[in-house]
Amino acid sequence: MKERRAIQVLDDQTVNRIAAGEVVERPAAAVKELVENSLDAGATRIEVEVEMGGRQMLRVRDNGIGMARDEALLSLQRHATSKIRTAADLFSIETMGFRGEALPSIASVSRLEMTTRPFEQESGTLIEVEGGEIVKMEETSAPVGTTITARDLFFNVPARLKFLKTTATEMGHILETVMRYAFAYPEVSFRLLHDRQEILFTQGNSDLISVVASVWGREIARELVAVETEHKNVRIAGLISPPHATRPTRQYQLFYVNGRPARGKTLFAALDGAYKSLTPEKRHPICILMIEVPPNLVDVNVHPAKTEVKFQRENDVFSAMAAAVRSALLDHGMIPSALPPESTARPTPAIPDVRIPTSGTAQPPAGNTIHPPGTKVYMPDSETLNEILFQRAGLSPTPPSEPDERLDEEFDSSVPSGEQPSSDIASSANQPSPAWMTEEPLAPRHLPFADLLDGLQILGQIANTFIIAWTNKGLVIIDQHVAHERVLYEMLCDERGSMPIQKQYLLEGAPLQLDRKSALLLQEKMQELERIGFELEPFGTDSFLIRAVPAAIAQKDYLGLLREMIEELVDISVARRLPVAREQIWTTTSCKMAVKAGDPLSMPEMQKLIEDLAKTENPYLCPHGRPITLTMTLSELEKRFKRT
Amino acid sequence: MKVRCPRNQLHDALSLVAHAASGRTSLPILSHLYIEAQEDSVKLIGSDLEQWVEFSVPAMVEEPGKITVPAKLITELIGSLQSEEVDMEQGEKGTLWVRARGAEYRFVGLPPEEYPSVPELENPSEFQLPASLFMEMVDSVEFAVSQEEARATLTGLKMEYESGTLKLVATDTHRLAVSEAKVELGSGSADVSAIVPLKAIQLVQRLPSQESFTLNLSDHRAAFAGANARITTQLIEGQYPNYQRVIPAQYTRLWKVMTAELKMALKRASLVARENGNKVVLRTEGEKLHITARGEGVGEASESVELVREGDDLEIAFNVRYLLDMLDVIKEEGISVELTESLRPALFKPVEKQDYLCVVMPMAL
Ligand SMILES: Nc1ncnc2c1ncn2[C@@H]1O[C@H](COP(=O)(O)OP(=O)(O)OP(=O)(O)O)[C@@H](O)[C@H]1O
Ligand SMILES: [Mg+2]
Repeated sequence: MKERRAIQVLDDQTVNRIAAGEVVERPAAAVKELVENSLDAGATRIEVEVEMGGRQMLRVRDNGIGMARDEALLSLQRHATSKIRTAADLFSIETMGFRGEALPSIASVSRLEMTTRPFEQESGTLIEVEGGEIVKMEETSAPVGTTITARDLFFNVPARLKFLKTTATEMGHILETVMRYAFAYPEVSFRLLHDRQEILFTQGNSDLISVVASVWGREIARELVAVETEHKNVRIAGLISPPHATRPTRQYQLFYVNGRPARGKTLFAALDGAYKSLTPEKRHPICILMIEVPPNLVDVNVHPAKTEVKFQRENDVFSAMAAAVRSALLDHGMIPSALPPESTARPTPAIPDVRIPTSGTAQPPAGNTIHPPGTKVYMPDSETLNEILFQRAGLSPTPPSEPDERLDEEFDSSVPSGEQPSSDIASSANQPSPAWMTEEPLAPRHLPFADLLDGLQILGQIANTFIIAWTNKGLVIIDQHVAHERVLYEMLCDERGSMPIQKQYLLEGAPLQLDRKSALLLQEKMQELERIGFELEPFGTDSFLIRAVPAAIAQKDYLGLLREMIEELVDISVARRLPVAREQIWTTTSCKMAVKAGDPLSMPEMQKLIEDLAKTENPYLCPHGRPITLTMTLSELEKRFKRT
Repeated sequence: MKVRCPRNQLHDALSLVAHAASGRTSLPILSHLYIEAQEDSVKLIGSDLEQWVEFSVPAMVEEPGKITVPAKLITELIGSLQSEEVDMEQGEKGTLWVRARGAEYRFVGLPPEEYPSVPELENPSEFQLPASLFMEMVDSVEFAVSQEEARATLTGLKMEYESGTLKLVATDTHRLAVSEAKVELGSGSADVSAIVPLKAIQLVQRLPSQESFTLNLSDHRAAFAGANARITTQLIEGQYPNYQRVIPAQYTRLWKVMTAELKMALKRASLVARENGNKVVLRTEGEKLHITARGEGVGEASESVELVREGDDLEIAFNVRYLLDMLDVIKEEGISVELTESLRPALFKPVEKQDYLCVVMPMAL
């Protein structure tokens, strides 16, 4: 039995730490709060300096209004704010801050140093705080404005410290944060330094396009078009991409509501609605949209981090967004008016409407006794999987996240291993009318694959997507893309290098210009990319020269493939808030390099693909967890045609 | 329109012209052929708006006129008729009657006025090309043309005329082939260059054999005119890479080998190499060139051929397909290879001939 403990009131410090758990969960959150304060202080220049991903030191320097000595002292107290007076003010907030919580929270989990001077005074104030206690205060000479330095973040909260990820990941979040504000405030010059290296700089010349160019690169900047409309009290301004310039995830969609970075389903839904039928499925347009609504019509207090917004009149936002996008695209001639919008979507290969009933996969029929162990047909998609894992680990679904090794482990263990056979299958293969053949549903089957290939005869390809074959066991349908994906994936994972990747050199290095974030990621993952057959060489800021490419894609659009891969890896690193694991690189690579649905294949090509597939360790599921083959036994066919 | 044509000639013409017709259905008229009867011939036109093929067939014309017919249908029908001659006659509402010894067919056409007209060339430069020479040049570089649409300029053949020399160039960024010949300029500006789509070149290759043809080059179009046929094509717009830059100017190693011997050895080694990204390793040792390949789970290949050599020994790997593509078009007995290092380009040339070269980039060892 557990020992009973006395009930106690927590001391102030503890309370502060709990608050810190909400406000400052990682270095990027501290940067966010400090930058917001600088913006609230009317700064036109904000410099963020970071060491070791913010763990060692982060400093925000501004040229804003500064604070007098008494104000400075007060600012470090909980619930001390200059920004609202009464609870009623909460409904018409026009500043970023309003809780009076950020500074004390940061101060309570770091060694903080504040230097500040208001313009009307000759000298400034220096205050040093350690874990919440003021340890020093003196007059000092300082430029007008405020500089706040937080060192050894979480030095007194070891648990938090443990949750911090690699320097690169934390830095990625900080860059993301500063970037968001740089877009929202083109009139403010932002500078971000990491370990003394400048990784972001905007001029503060009020030109959003030039901010985009310096943050995302000129290529993206060139594609965007301006939006500006007003519709029932909702003003929308910013930049959007034409329907053909899209990304695989929402990473390049930024929204601001009254100057505050915002997320929320409403916003995505509104944008998707506006682009409906203009962009291919699963691709997302790029946008930076500033939405202005009367302060009393939006509630920012929903989320502790203040990023989730709720509108009083959602419909107005929807229709304003639709109107804004439509008119901008029409203005720039980007909606082909002669064609119906549908025809601009990516053509999908026409798949004849031949459906084979799959009831067996959804609900195994009663009496289906044989289900080889590990026959888990449907994998939860990785998003859901993440959620499950995090819940299991006692974390919230959108967590500061677990170390990824753990994720991969769990992920792997839930994938059927592929080497199956419960002995009954193996032995039954010799019997004249094996029992297992009679009740097997049409489902990804887990026969030993070599068995499955017994007497394989390729009948052909349908819809340039599926390979249809006949074996001694029955009819086999193979999804060519996922099959090839699996073959390539195992080739990449194979440390023994039994099927090594060959590298083909180029006559001339092909230049690859990237945005800062992609360049950082590429820099970091260079070795992995070389392992898969690319040879790259840095070539000035954010640029690389491709010297060699994987031989397998030498005759394809290798530049486009590499770009797409990097794009997707960046998106993954942002969306999952995880550093990119090498397995992720392999998965993405194999997916990009594999033959696509819609690629016609010759007989020998199909033959080779199936032979290669048979050699893989898991010919049943692709690296994303989708099934590769479907089989239908002869008796199953007979049953369906009511022949038995 | 009412005409009688020799069936064989009509069929040859139709098959070529139908090749230019487009499979796209977005503009239905492009899946048709245009037929016009005038004086003593029938002119056929097929196009996909990138290429236009015009072909004239001798005919007895009773009544001139014009019409369009579905390309595939008419070509297949004329191909499967048995008679010496075929009669074609315009019916009502743009239909066409085709009659031959007991067979009678009627096809539905589209208004001939809507057929896109063949564009003119502005201020072209004109060359007279011996057909066999030009075809040989095309054959010797065609394999290096890129298939990848993402880099449009590389999907064409670069034609360049400068001070009396015509050069054909192709590259897919891994290899480069250049073939050149002295050619007389007929008229027009002296220095011209153009990127001709591979499809146009392939149509030229299908022209019935003839002595020579006329090549016209202008800023946006090119035309190849033979005795009865003329192929007009749009050029690929854009900047062709500066290929001169990638032709190595110096070498530290020089190999000379017999073309046929090397080709046969590589062909055999490729059986194994194809299991391993087509990689073959070439290594010199004394007077021998060793060729090896490994295919995991398949086995190994080892070959050696005689070699005359300057410079130190070297080991270098190539995609065997790239080597074979090149060796297939070299007609000369001997071939020379100029090299420096194992990750640097190799320059292949027929021995004692200066009119052809092929640069191939190696694979990692
Ligand atoms: N960089 C700065 N320049 C001038 N004044 C500042 C600066 N940073 C903070 N302050 C002052 O200190 C006060 C406390 O800041 P703090 O960030 O803790 O709270 P807040 O911004 O009011 O609300 P929130 O907790 O929502 O951020 C602010 O209200 C402001 O008056
Ligand atoms: Mg604040």
